[in-house]
Amino acid sequence: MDGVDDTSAVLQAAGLHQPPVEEAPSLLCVIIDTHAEGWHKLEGWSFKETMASVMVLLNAHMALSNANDVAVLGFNGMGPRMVYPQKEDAPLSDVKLEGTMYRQFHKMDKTVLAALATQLQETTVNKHCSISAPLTLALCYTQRIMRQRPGTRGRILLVSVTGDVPSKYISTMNSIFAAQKAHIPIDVCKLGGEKTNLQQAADFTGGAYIDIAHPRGLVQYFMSTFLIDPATRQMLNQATQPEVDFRAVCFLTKEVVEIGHVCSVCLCIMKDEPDGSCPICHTVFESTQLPSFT
Amino acid sequence: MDDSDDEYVDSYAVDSVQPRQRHPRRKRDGKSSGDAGADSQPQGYAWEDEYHRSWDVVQEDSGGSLAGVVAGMVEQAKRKRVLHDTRPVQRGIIRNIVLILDMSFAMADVDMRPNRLQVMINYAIEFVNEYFNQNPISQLAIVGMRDGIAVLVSPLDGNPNVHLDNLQALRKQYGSGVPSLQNALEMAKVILMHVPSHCTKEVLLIFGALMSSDPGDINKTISDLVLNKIRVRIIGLAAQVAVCQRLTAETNFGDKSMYNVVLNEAHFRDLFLESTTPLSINKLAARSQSACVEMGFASRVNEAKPSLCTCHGRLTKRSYTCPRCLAKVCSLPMVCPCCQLTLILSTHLARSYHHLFPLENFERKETNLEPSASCFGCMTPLDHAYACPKCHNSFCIDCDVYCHESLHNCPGCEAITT
Amino acid sequence: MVGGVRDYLESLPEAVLTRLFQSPASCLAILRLLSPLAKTYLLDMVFTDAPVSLDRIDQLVKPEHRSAQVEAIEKLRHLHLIKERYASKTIVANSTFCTSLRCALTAGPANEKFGVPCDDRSSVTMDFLTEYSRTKWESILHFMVQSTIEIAESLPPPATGALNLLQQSGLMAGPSPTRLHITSEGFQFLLQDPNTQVWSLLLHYLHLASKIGRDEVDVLNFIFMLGSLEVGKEYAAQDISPTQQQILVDVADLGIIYHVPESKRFAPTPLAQILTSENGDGAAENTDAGKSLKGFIILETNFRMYAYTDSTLQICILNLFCDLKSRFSNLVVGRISRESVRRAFHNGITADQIIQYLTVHAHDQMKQTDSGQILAPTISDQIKLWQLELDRFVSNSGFLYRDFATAQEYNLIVNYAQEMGALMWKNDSRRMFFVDRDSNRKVLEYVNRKMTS
Repeated sequence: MDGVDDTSAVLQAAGLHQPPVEEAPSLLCVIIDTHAEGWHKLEGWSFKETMASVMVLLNAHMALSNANDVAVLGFNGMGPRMVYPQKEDAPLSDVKLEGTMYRQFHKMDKTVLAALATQLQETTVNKHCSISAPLTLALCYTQRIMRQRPGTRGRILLVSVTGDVPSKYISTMNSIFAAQKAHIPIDVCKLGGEKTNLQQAADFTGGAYIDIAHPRGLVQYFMSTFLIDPATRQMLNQATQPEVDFRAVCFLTKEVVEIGHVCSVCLCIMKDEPDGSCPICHTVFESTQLPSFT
Repeated sequence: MDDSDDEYVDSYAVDSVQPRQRHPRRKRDGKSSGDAGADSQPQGYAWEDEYHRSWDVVQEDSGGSLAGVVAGMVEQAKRKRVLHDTRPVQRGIIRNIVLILDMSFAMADVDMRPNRLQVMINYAIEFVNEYFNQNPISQLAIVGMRDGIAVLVSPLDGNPNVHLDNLQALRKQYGSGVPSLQNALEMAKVILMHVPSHCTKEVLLIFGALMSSDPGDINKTISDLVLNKIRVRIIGLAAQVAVCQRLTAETNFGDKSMYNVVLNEAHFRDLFLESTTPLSINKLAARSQSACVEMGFASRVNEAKPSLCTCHGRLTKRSYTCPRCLAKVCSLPMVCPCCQLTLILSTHLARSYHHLFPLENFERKETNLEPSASCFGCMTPLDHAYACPKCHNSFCIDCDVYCHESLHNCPGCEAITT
Repeated sequence: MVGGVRDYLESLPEAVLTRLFQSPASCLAILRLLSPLAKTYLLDMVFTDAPVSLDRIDQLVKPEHRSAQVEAIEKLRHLHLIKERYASKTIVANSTFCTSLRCALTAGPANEKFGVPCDDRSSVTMDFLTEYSRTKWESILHFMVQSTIEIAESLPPPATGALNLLQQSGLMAGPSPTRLHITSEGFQFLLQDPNTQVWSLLLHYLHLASKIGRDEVDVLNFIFMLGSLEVGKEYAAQDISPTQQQILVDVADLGIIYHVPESKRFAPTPLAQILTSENGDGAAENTDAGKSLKGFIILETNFRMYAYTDSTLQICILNLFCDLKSRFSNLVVGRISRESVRRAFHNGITADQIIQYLTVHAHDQMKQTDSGQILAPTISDQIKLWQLELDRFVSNSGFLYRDFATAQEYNLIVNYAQEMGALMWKNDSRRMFFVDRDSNRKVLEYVNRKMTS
């Protein structure tokens, strides 16, 4: 239509074209790491207190707008589980509601806390769940909500205390790319565990990454960083991550490499130049001389 | 091939060589009408068939409502989109494509709205985005056919923004003159000449006209392309043209599925975006060379003060450092301007992994579901279940589509802990 | 859309607001009324008691969004949610508000009742409440439209309380509550979305209440509290103050709650939930207060309108700006024309209101567009152009210069005025020209300079 006529210009001049400023409903998916060992290893953190802060975040998100929604997932060695909302037909957990606060907050808090506490009790020795599992579930659920209520914006907050499972690297990256494609930012709140590709997840999807060393003021972190709507974040100056590690890991030696050799067929990364054929896909390389990429 | 009236005769001429070629419409309909499987048994021309009215197919249910039928058809259509070939094959991951766009008089036709050219540019933009999304370490060039010559729209480059800008600039132009297949293909050949052997060389041609005005013998060009291992895929906008058929068949080792004629705009888009998936390499492997490429994995730094990058000479704060010579570049992937090392991020490689390890197709569960069954992914109550053959969890159709098209993960398989 | 209630709150003195802030329910409701950026600032401060420096406030926002920041801070200040300390260049959040909001967010003990639910199984069902609120509310709207056209099937008139409110608020006028006719405000009111409608009636109610000496904090608290209650549950009405008891009866007339005067309990209806949501859309979907809220209008680019509805109310409203041609059992067909739209304009309805109404009630099929625009631009622009047609006169204040002695003198000054862009009109033959008010001083100076030289 542009340039065909100047109707809109006329209307603009008459002050009749006002772009509506509206807040889109948003869905906040919180993924909580409930690996008992992970929490055990953390110094000075208590699961209960951390969850209290998370609950404040959830309540605050709901408080921002009536149309906002939340979902909570927990994951540990038993796999990922949806904690809230529960399945439609699942019997409502019989929680005693006192008339002291917003009832929907109350119901949500009780359900979430009870379910997460149960998960924390599960003993899953030497079993680890990769973050790709809850991420995949959260993305499926977010997609469903976005289908059902068009216009909803989704985002994911990951509270992590353990490191990732290296064998799930590809799945993790797949879910990160899917989130990026659907414009779902992944915020990462790291309380413990070694540095993993979570940093990349936040970086790629435009989410925030914060490594919190001390439990004091956790609520403030949630309030001032993770609560803010992605649309609003674009208006704000946000702390950027000074350095993001994009180095690759050698498929054979599992060492971090800066300069590696890549098979053109299966894209496996090797620290040292293989002789003759690819050790992964057994493709025979034609020449020993290394051609350049272009 | 100077006149579209020749088409019928031409396809007949080919007929005598390849008997199966008798049914020119079949290839064209293969995607949508579902009779592609009937390749072996001879069929009449499409116009000889009894005409199927769309309302004949639809049956009312007992309540006289169409809702159930319509829902079923929608689901089928979704399902059709999802079923990919999931056999693990080697694919040419590092790709080089020359996209040839017809910009001749034929593109001014308004059988697509607002006209063919605009529709093509819209989809081309979508294609470029998707192509670089799926093939981050690949390159693309764009060539236009107009006024009997080939014009270079966008040179071979790995940066999508360059191409997008050039495509946007095309919008202001109108289709003019006659197209020349030979000139365009020759130009593509030159562009792809210096591509190393471990990369694929491909041409994607959008052909709106039914004729081509060539300066020489196109058969010579075709055999040149075969010699150079350049694979050509053609999307026709009007009708099937014999020379295109031969061109695609010969450059693709006899595979005739690389030439398609669009049925409507949606089909055009589907065909266009289909080309973003890397071609399988199995037939090619015998002749193509594989190689081990040295690559540098750069780390990103955010500096407090901006400094100049070696690639463009621009002041930037966010940059990447070459691990070998510590030169600073502003975007990736790129060849280090100082030491010629290929610089990429590990994530660029990760983006291509799903081509190599595709997610298996879910199978439709025919058994009756328990009433409380819900989708493993999104917890929607299930009407029809699709189950992952590995983890046997059930999913709804929407999750099935989402998992295969975007996510490339199975929520059920992921949930298995180690 | 909630501008009304926000403006009202801003007009309240600090002391009143501070009393209002003591209720966590009100704090939550007020929070929802703010802009996203204002919410961000406020929530950032809620959990820290320390004052925030103005520099930090400035740094947080990118320079290009400075205007939004200024606006947000300004809003917060007007609502007395923050206070500036000029000496230390810091701002602090209202401590009462912070305490209450923290209490609401952390599930702490509340200092007042969020409504006490009845323990036993409630006798009202969700369907009943929805239906109840719909009939109540529609009877009010119906009553308003009824005064304009003859409708065969008429509903019982709304309760006297509601009638009184309609008259007092100026939406309807007339000698007695039984013989009322709709005013131009009333027409505008009809086209608004339910959220705005409910709020504007309640605001009028507030004004009315404060006039007869009721405590507005009490009323506001009660309204906000209603919005936070769970729909479909019954609440005990014993523990509330006599003022609130009276409000209960009044809002029951509007269909916001279900209340049988003898029984000591009440149940909020889906309409109540609208009270604390910022736009009608979200609430409408969540609560489906009334079937009429589901989109039913299909508008073609040739100005033909198909409305899938059997509600006489909706048909009457459509009739305000649309020529209805035929009516079927579940469909009315009509056409939007220049005449029909002008008729609406003469009733005081604006183009934006018509467009808003059509957008809100657009059929789902209309919403499936790639452009994201629900109405075709031709339609919405044309309606706006029709409105512009009515405002052909543009008045500018300024000064007329005339009675020039010579043509040279006239030309000198008129050229100067033209160059500086102050000239609005001129007539060379009669040596007159008109200069707009703001630039007149400069022209005058120039004239004086020339005259003296």
